[in-house]
Amino acid sequence: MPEIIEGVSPTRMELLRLRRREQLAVKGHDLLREKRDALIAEFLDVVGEVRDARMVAEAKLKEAFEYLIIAQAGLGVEEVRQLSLMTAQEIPMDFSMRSIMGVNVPIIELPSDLSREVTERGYGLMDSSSAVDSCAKRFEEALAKIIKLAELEEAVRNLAGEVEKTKRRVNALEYVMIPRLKTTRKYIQMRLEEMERENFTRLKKIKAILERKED
Amino acid sequence: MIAVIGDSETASGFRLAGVTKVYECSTDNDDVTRVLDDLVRDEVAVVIISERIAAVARNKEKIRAVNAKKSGVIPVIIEVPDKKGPMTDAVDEIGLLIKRAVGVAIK
Repeated sequence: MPEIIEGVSPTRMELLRLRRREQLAVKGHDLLREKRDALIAEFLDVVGEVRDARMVAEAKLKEAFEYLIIAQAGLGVEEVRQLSLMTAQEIPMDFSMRSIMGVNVPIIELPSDLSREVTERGYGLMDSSSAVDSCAKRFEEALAKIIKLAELEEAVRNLAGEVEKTKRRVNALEYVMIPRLKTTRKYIQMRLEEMERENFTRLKKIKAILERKED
Repeated sequence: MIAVIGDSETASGFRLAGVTKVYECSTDNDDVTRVLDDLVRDEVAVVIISERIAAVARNKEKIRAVNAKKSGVIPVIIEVPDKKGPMTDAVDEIGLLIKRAVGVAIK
């Protein structure tokens, strides 16, 4: 039996106020429960994608590193490093946000094809090798996958936080607030009825006394 | 804007892919926290960081702090394996989140 809220006086006013609060709590509970269910559905959708995305991204990256090692074996570690310093180029991307039930989720849009032509990469063709070209290409592909993964993982992280928060609120209402309001309301109702009965017998008694006097 | 924090191989690779903000760091230097601060200030959208660097306690703490402090969604910090492949003993952060949110682990 949940405890009653302390410091309430058993009056009709208080009863009305409690009844209103209870109605509000029940309504809020319903709404929050719906929100929680919707969030979890959304969450599960994203979770399904994120696992695959991580696998794809890691596989791509692994492949890219293999090509890097080949390039390094051909030209030397330092030479590849020097070449890489020449390829600096800004990657155009569009960063925006989407809101899922009040949760901000990033949307990162990259140009559909990140890979560039050999001549666009910025390093000279003279002192590089085709191994460097294929390595750069693999890294461009891996980068695209990683960005996609970043978007998904961030979504999962934010959604998980919100799901947890909403769940806590739903439970607090369901198991603490609403039962407490209910028992308090019942307590006041009982007290009022009791007072009514006391009054009733009192009146009966007085009436009896008065009648005896008149006789 | 994309930034990369990684060892020299990771750095070279992503530079070849066209990323301009590349920081070469090793697991045992403490520049990473400072670099992260800079990146937050410059409003970099995506930070790609090597797992092995992110796994260092100090950096891990920093990443958590950055994630907790940000008001919007940037920067999105993502950990990727380095040339040695994924760390086997790494905790599955996403898996933990799922378990906490839904109550069951989903594979």
